[in-house]
Amino acid sequence: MTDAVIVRRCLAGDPGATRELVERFQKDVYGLCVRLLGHHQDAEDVTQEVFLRVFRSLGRWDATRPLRPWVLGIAVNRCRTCAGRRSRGPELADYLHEAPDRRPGDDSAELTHEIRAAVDGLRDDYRTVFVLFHERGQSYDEIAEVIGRPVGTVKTWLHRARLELLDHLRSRGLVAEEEAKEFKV
Amino acid sequence: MNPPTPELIPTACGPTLARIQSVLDGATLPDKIAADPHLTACESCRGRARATRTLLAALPALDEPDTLPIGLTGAILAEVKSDRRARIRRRAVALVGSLAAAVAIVVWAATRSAGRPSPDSSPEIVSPRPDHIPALASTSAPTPGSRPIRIGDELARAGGAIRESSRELTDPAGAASQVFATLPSSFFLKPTPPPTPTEPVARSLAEISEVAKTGLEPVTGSAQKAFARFLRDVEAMQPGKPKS
Ligand SMILES: [Zn+2]
Repeated sequence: MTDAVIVRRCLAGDPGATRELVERFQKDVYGLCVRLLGHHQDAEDVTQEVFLRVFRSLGRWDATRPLRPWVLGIAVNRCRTCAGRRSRGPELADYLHEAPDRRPGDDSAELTHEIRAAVDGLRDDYRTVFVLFHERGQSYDEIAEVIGRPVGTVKTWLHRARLELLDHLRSRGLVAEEEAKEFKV
Repeated sequence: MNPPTPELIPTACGPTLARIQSVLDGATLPDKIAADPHLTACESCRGRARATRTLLAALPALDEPDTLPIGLTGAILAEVKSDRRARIRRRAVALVGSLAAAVAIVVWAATRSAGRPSPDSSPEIVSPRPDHIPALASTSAPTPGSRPIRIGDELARAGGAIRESSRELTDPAGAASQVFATLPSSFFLKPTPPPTPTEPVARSLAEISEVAKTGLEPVTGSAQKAFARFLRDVEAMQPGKPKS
């Protein structure tokens, strides 16, 4: 079912189409909310809010544009509102608490954790584009749709986010010599 | 939300950083960074190149799909359904409120009209009369500053408000406006035949020529009176003409 068809059916009150729309986007929305809020319970609440907004404003969706970035754009905005409301950023403790399979001494888990913490330390718009690109697999064009900015701005923000991360990893000594040898430098 | 001023990066580092970005975009193979001669001369870029390798190794773990909480889909659907019902209920309440307000206006206007003394049996019971008809003006002229109530206008305004407040509920709103369209007629008195001209007026009419009479054929009632008085006044004001 295409975006336009599913939206038309939702607007006509078709419960099957409503369920299909939720099932089509809930994973992306929830995953994005988890990453932008750093808290599973908040992410769950915000995901519900996002879908309420989606269905309330479905009549205003521009059928000439893809639906996914439009839905994710609502998710980004709701996450911003939620983060502003609780006025606390994602905390290290959230990840430690919510990653039961993470074993001490597991290098790759340590590294993932370190990078996530560094991403969370980025300013909001850098973090949003980084998460959308590297963690949610969105293209530059899709991210531009999601955040309502030109592609050039998305590139600039993502490049700066990456540079900050690389410098952070460097300053933390998270660059092994053997990795350097692989690069032959 | 403007980006902060970026850290000053030497121009010589530009191509290397562009290559690193391209590798992170997935558009260039990582080996291309290693072949960059700038890395031997620039310690910062060498460190960034190594960190890029680290980041590339960690990125797959970052986009691991999150497991959806159990019952999330059901909770979303229930929330959406209840929100939809609540919105329909709110609109219905707004519509009923508008109808009640409109009915109140109609009743108030009708009560007010009924309480006012009726000057004659003319069908236009709420319209102000022209001032140049003395007999009628004395009984029905509005007091200064007051605005005559027009039931038709009030109903039209109420009907408009209802339609505005319930755009999405087109059927009920349409039905409501139809109901209101039928109401005004019941509040107007049925037209009655015009009163017979009084004796002086009849005399005045008899005095004017046959030609003028045919021209006045459709004019009846209060308009006839006014015209007769007008003719008499004009006659009286002509200085050279002897009075008959
Ligand atoms: Zn350099």
